[in-house]
Amino acid sequence: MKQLFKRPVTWVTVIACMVILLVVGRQMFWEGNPQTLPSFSVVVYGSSTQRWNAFDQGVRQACSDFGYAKPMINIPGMKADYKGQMQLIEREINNGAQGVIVTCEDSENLQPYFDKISNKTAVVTVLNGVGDQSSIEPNYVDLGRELGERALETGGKNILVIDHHMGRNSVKKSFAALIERLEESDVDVTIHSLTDMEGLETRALYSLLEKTACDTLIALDNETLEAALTAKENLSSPINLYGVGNSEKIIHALDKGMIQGICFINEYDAGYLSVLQMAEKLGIRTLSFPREIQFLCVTQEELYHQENERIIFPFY
Amino acid sequence: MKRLKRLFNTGRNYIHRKSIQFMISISFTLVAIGCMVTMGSLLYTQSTNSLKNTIMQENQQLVNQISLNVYSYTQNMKRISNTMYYSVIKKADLEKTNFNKELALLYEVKDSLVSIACFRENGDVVGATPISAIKEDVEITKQEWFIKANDIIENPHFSLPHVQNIFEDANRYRWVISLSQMVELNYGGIPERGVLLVDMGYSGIEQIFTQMTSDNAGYIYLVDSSGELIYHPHQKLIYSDLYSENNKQAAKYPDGKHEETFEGIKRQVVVKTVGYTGWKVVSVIPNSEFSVTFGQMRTLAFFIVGLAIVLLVVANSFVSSRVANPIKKLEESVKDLEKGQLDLDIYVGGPYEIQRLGNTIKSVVEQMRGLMDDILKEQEQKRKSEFNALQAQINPHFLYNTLDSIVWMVESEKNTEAISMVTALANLFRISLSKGQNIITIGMELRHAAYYLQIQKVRYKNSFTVHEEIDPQIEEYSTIKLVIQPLLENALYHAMEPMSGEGELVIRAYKENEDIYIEVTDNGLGMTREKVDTLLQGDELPVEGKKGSGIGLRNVDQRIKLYYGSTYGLEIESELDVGTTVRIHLPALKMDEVLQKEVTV
Repeated sequence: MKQLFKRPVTWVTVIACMVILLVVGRQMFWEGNPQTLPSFSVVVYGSSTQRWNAFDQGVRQACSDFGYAKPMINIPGMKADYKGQMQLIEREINNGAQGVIVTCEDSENLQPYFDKISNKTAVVTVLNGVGDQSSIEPNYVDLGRELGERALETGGKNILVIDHHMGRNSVKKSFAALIERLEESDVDVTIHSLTDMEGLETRALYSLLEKTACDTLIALDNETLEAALTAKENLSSPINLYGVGNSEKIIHALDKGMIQGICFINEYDAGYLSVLQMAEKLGIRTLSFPREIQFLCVTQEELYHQENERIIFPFY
Repeated sequence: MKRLKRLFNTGRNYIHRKSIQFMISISFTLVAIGCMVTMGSLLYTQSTNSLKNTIMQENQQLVNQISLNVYSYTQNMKRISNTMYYSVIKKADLEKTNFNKELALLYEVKDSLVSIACFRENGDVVGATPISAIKEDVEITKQEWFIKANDIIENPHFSLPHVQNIFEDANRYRWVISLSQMVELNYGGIPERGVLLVDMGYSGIEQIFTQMTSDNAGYIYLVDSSGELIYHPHQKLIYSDLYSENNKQAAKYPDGKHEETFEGIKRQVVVKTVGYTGWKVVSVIPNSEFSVTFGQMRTLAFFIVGLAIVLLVVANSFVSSRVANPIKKLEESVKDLEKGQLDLDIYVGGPYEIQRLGNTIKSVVEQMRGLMDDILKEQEQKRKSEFNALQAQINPHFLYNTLDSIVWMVESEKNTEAISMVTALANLFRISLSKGQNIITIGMELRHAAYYLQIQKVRYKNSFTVHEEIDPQIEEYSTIKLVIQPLLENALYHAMEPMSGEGELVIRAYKENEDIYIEVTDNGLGMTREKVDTLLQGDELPVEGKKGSGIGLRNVDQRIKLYYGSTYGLEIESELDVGTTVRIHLPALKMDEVLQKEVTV
């Protein structure tokens, strides 16, 4: 036996055996434990988590499908501006997040910050990107034009377009497209800015609507549309409301006929695809997936059409 | 083909040149690897098939269970509907009463019930719970569930999941599955068609699937008979075209297991129809799900086979070394033996067969040693015999006596006789020495004997006669030297001397078959049989100092035997008072043959 272990071939065999064991053991461990996504966070804008239920569902579905840990949705809350978002993102990074999915409150002001952190943190922008970077979002130009089409269908002649949250690329792009479409037709278009009116949108809109003679109001984001809805509820004269909205309040208003038409963005898909892009940026998984998400323009009559209700109403 | 053959031959020759240990090791290792790989493959195949069958069976059971649960769900709806219809609606006269209370009671019983409502043929609501107010803009008669209930009056109709939108339900948008069936309403005895609508919460269906499929491979979904999705874990993604499903095709499958390829992915599909609804529970397991498990099994099988092979290789090395090492040691002993080391210790060890071999070789070596010792002894004896013969030949007494005779002749002025004597003596010694050769011709040996007799005749004053009967052809044959002269000497001393002038010596030399015989016969006193027998016995050579040359018959006999073998030598025949014949028996070997043999040796 001693002679056996004096031979080189014996030692080569033993070492080869150990290497095989190591490789096989690692392989078995690796296959038994699918790759997990490193920790990432989700930061949205606004002050209400309920507004983001569909988006959250999409994120959770993606995490469930691919075995990733489900992150919490972080909302700035009271500090519902880009600075609040930056603070949140910074906190998440300090807590170990290697990536962050962000719906940007202010595309322009957040861009330098994202440029600064992008070398150590993977950033995925969704619904609202920064600069020319790709973002998971609908085609806002098409959305703006479609919204304009719908508004014109009801025969409105005097259209008021609210200029608010123009810091968001989504609003900026859809606004430009909407105005372009409206200006192609023979209608009067008034643009009213609500900049620096954060928290006072409802009152401002109410005052505006009382004074102006518009028959149609178009708002290009959910919060502004909700404010317009509230303002409209207290108005004596009827006015057609159109806008971009996703919240239950907006849907209910559409159902009730308080809003005549909305552009509904498929935020469920947005949440789902944002996780795929995060996995891609973190080098965990590469799948081909679309970067453009669906939007629907629906009226009250179309709300319960099968193809619409499946997108608009969540399964819970 | 030629190249292959050449390669094969090269390989075979290479292997043949390798050691036993290598051969044993390689053979066992290859066999072990072959067996392990075969076994491993068979086990892996068996295990994977078994696992696959197990997974499919489990899946089948799961599908059956889900199907039962969904059936139970639909049965519940049907039970509610039937209870409402047969226990309440049919018995009620709607002219006089309504059944809102019963509706409310029934509604309270079932948690998953979203609403129950009954409508007239024109769409007017007869009763509804929990909310009876219908939305203004909703036309009941145009609702799909209403139309289907009126189309298929025999059976209840189950709708696809949809958002309930007919009631004024503030801020509540519930996904429901509607059961609608045509009912007969009674208005003061006048029957009227109506439609009973039972809305069950879709979450009931969703829970059945999510609870039962959380840990399983693949996924399970539910379709109606036309392939429309009722439940799918990726429903939302399918609706927005981010995900595809083969639901339309699956709805056409009969119940049981199927294999399909969808979007390039092979999948195992199990289908089970739910009761009478026509819905189908479809289980899908992509083959890649098996691959992950199979991959782990394959890795484990590879690991076990690999480890077993490694252990077998080590064991093979150990066993082959145990077998081969004793053979190697024995081989080394034999190599040393080849080099001529006869005194080495032959290795005896290892397995029984190797021990036997070692013992046998050891015995052979010992025999060889013995034989070589014998040969050495023989050589030594021969050398001694010859030395003695030579030495005896230079016996001073013979020389002194002969020289005395010569002196006497010279003094007597018998110069011619003296010259003859000296010449004979010189020739005698010349032949005795023969330049150191041991083998001479019989002719020379006879001449040697003749010179000896010539000298002795003078000394014995011609008191005996010598007759020679020599076959001339044998003179060229060989013999060892100094074989006849001792016989003559013996005859002279023991036979001629006592005869007082009447002694007779006869020397015969002849060939018979392949043997040469040289006889020295005397007419002396003879010997007894016993004396004859003792003459050639014993190992000692004659002691010096005795009469004559002292070589003796024994010496001659031993030398002949040493040289030519034991079949040759001296034969003595003697008869008392008649005489004695001593016969030299030699092989008929010509001189040149013997010389050539010596050269070869």
